[in-house]
Amino acid sequence: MPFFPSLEIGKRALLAQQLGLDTTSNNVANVNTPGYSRRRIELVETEPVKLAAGTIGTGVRAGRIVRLQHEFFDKEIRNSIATKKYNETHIFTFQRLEAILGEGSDTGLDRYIQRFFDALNDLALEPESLQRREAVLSTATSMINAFRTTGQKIRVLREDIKSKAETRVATINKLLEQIASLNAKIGIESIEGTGATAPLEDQRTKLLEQLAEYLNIDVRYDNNNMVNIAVSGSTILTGPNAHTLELKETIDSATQERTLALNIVDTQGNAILQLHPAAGEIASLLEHYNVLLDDKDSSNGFSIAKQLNRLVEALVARINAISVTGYGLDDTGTAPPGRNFFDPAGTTLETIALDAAIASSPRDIPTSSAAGEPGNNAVALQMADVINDENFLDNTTLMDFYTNLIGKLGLAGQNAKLGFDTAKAVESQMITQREAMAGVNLDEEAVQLVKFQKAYQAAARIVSVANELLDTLVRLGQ
Amino acid sequence: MRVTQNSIVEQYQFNLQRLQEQITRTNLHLSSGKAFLSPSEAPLRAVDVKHVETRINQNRRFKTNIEKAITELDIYEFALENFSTNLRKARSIVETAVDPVNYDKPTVLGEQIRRILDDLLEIANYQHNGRFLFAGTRTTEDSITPTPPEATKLPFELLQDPAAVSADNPEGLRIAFKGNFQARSVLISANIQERINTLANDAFGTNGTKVFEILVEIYNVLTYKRDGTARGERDFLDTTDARKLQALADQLSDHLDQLHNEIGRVGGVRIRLETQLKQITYENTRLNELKSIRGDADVAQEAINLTRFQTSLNYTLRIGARLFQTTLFDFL
Repeated sequence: MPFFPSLEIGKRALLAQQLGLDTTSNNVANVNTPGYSRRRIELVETEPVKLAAGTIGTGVRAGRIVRLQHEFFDKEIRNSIATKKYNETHIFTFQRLEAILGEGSDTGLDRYIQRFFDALNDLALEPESLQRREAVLSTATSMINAFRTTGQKIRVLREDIKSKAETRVATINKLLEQIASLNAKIGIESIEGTGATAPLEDQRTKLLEQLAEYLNIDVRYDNNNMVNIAVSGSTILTGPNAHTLELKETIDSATQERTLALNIVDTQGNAILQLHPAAGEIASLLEHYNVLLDDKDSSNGFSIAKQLNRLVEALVARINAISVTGYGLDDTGTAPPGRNFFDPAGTTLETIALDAAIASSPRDIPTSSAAGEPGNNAVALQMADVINDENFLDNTTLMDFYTNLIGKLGLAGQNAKLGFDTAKAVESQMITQREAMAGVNLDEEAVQLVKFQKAYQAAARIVSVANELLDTLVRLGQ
Repeated sequence: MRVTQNSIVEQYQFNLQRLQEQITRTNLHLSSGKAFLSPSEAPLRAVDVKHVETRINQNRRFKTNIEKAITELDIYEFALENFSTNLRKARSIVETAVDPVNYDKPTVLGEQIRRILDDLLEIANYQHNGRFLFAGTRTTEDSITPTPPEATKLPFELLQDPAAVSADNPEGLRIAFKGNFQARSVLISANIQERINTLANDAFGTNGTKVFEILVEIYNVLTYKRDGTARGERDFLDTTDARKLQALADQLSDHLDQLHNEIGRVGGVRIRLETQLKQITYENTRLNELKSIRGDADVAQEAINLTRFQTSLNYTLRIGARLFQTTLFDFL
């Protein structure tokens, strides 16, 4: 029991209200700080003293500064960010693919295919015409160039995605290091009970949200307020210890299929565990590299590169199968010369080519079913009719097969857009709700400011009165 | 709900961004005239439009083929009609010759028959767009190889072949056909072809030469006596010659029937193709309408949308200016 309790009570009140004022001021100062969670001071009555007359209070002290936050919102926001980023990356790739395929313009691959078959059709009308033959070669060359350019652009896009994924993994590793470092500091502060972890926690929340852009992370808190992070069930960070992640490309020796995998590696760089992210930018990039743009994809997923290669392969095979049965303008003999229209070795987007013999000699384009019959268009008709064949590929026509590919690509793009919009709306809603709980309201802070100011003034008055009383006492003895 | 300064801003920015995106998209629809700018914007509509486009293009190819086929059939019809007219003239000459009052004019009539024969050969060697009409698939001179005594690169040639000389054919006249009897067809629908050429044997009888051989025979009867010597001014026809000529006239009549059948077939194909052409033209008109409905921007609707979004944007911006109202701090 102090010599003069009121003075002590006044002092404690002054200190407590001062802290309240400081906390409120800090809230006002951080009203626009991203990721800031408002703080509140918890005032606690100090231990009372038992007197003969009863129990008397000894004043107030600042219990702790509370950071108003709820993990539910943080978690939902992280999930929304991961989904949003996953879909946003999807949209970006699909938009690039649509541009590569010339969709939405008048330069789509299908136009080149149509023009080639238009020219074949015209040739069937006048197989003797050198002009028609030149037109077939010209449109075939344009179509081949379009296929090749498309193939090259898809390959470049795939390489871009790999490069992007590598950069993102480097960023992820940096983020993990920073979070581990913050974990260590928060852990120490928690053990020592200094209560100074709020700014560090805000910082960590921000970093976790940045990490969620790349991976779907599951965050768990331990007893010391440190976080553990897992991706699809595999732990990548435990308290102050972060694993290193690395992208590794493997090549299947049989199919030459190149696949990217995200691994946790040891200090020697050896893969310990493969991660299978389900959302976030990395998940999207891996899907696109390993499936959508992989022309040797073995996953049975939707691979535009593989499907376009199938189209080219079927086109080359079908036209050549007819072409070898025909005769050119100058051919003689009873057996057909067995001339291919396309180079049979070029069965992919990037390798399709005209047969060398045909390319240099339009007269050799096989159009006739017999030698010495320039007006015979039987073979030309068969070639021109390939575009109408309902069993060209997968029980559909050539053009319908291509249209279905574009439809699938469009649907995937639309789904990504819907997913993006939904995730963005959820994120915005969750941020609003988190703000409703953890954000700063200036009116509220003004009230708090007035409240602490008045309490401070009152406490100062207590000290002043106690001082006067003490003066009176001192003068009694003089 | 507790409202904070940041939650107000967050919501405001979200809504503002969405409105601006909608205005941009609507503007692009209006300026491009398209209902969607990429397949991902409306995949089902994009697929519909592509399917319709494919069908339009397919029809366009068939239309081109049919139009060309009709043009060619017109040429065949014209040539065959011309041939028929000349052949009727020849029959008329023969009928004149077998009339006893004209027994004294065989050489004059023979010369007329010879001229008609030349005219008919000219028709048989007709070319359209540099292609022989009645040579099957040997449509160019390059594809015709004359075997001596043949001398021309034409599909039909009247030649004097020493090997063919006889009392019945003192000049050794022979018709050589150097073409073939292969059909030339066009695609008029998926997997459906239509023959557009008239084969020489359909137009001119067996081996493509029969009608010419009849005319040569008529010429020989009118120009030469049965012993193979040339008729003099006083060498009139007799009843045996007349009977033979009558028999040949009957053969010409039979051949004219065959020729008219072929003209009928050509006309039939032509009518069928014209009907199909009308159908395709109509179908493409409807398909283009459908394509427009599915693929083109609904300008009126887009304009209304634009006005609606712009109005919303105006109000949103006005609200933005008042977003931060006074706070309690202003009164302290």
